[in-house]
Amino acid sequence: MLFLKITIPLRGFFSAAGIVFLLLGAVSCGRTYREDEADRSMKVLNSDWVNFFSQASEKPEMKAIAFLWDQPSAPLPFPKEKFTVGKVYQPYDFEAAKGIYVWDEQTFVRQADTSVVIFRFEPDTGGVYRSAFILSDFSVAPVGSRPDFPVEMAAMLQVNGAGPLTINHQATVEEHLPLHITTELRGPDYDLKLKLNRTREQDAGTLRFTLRMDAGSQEIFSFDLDAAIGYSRQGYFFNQIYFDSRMFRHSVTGKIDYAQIDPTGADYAGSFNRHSQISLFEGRHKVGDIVLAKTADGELLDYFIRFSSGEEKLLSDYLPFLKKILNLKY
Amino acid sequence: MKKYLISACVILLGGVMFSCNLLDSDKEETDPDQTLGKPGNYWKGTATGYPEATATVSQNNDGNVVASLSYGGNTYQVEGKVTSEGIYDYVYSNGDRKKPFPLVKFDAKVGDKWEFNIGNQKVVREVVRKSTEDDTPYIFWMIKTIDVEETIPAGLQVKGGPSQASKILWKFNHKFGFISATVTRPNGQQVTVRQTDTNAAD
Repeated sequence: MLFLKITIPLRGFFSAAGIVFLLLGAVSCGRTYREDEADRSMKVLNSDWVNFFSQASEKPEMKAIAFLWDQPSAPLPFPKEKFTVGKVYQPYDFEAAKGIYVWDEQTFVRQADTSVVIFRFEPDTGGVYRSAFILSDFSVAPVGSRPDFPVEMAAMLQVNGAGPLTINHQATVEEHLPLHITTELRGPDYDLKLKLNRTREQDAGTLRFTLRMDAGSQEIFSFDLDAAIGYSRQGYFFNQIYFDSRMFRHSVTGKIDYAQIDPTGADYAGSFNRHSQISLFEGRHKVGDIVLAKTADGELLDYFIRFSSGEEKLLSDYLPFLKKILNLKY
Repeated sequence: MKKYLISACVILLGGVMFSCNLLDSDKEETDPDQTLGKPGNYWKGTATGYPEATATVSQNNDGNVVASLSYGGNTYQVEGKVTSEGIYDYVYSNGDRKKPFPLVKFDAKVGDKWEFNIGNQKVVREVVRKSTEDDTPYIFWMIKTIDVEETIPAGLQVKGGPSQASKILWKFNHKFGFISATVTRPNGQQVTVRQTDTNAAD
């Protein structure tokens, strides 16, 4: 009798738990796509990115920034400090740049003194400037490379009287390396946040990086990275990297045991693949694993997506913009 | 330009060397007294139109060498590894001593290659020439050299910034170590850094 009193509730518990687990499993367990499904999924991902880039580049504030960036007469920090072969590096002088500059159809002309840097452009027929960029704060700290690293920046851009784009950036530099970074770019209908935190305990430490873009309550993309790092006289290097990225309806999770990867070995790709696990998902379903392999000519290495069938396809064939990002020229 | 020259000097003058009688040994010797990574050894170098730079070995722990590089009124610390087999650097591993990259191996043959991979980018160092007789002018002598061509992919990040060289042609001698480096920039412009003095062979 006692046995029954005990066993019945236990059996009931296990039955209930079993049903819950089965239901959870049915709801949360994704599957791995077949190659044709994965192929479609990759095309969807590319289409999402192409739409994103296209819409972002059409935004008036992005066009305005591109316009300002291209003007040699606009004393702005980053284009002025851009590395140019044969040109001696000149740090940006915020104090000297302060003033009001107006666009005269060909160049920015300094018109007046002020305590910030102001660019007025896009004049209408009445001589009123409909757009303005204001850099109200900017300071830097030296790091191990050029240019110096911005530790404070506050800016605002208004285009044709539309809701402003604000940029706020704060950072600290320790041992000639960024220690903390908080950057927020807030547009009329979106918000981009970047954070970095680095720690050091003797010759080891951690690095945490997050980047997130939201439009209203919708997350557009995010990237979270946690890394164990080591320190050297040159700066720091990665030992282990864990990352998780979400973009539209896809996500990538990855772990790379960089300390175990031999960059000088004859089978570098094999070493990279053995010590890393990078997977792409669409919702809960796995699209494939990202691996390093030789390209068709057998000379160069590149990133491939390996489908469930074992077939490997060049990642940049599906996502051509990756080529531009991974091979950024400065 | 300054950073560019310093980067070149960092590798060049940090590239200390060792005497040829050690090459017979099968074991990679790291004893500072048996290699030219001996503390106190120095190399001076210059490029036309630029101040002289001097690298002096300040530490050597089991072949891992730290050198002080004086250039333009500033002093920088650079690291490398010197063994009886060759000279290695940590430029592309960002100082990770577990990942030395051969700059030269004195018993290498023409065509020997060493590669350092970073993601899908690859730095290649290849032995392109090895003297069979004394054919390279060095101060008042003619010496043998082993020439290593380094090819750097465009856009590769080095020390947090883009590499300012696309190719480097290194010349080494087994006795004097670094002899010269001709650095080709992405626009094709070339600068040659030459060693002008060393006490390493004393």
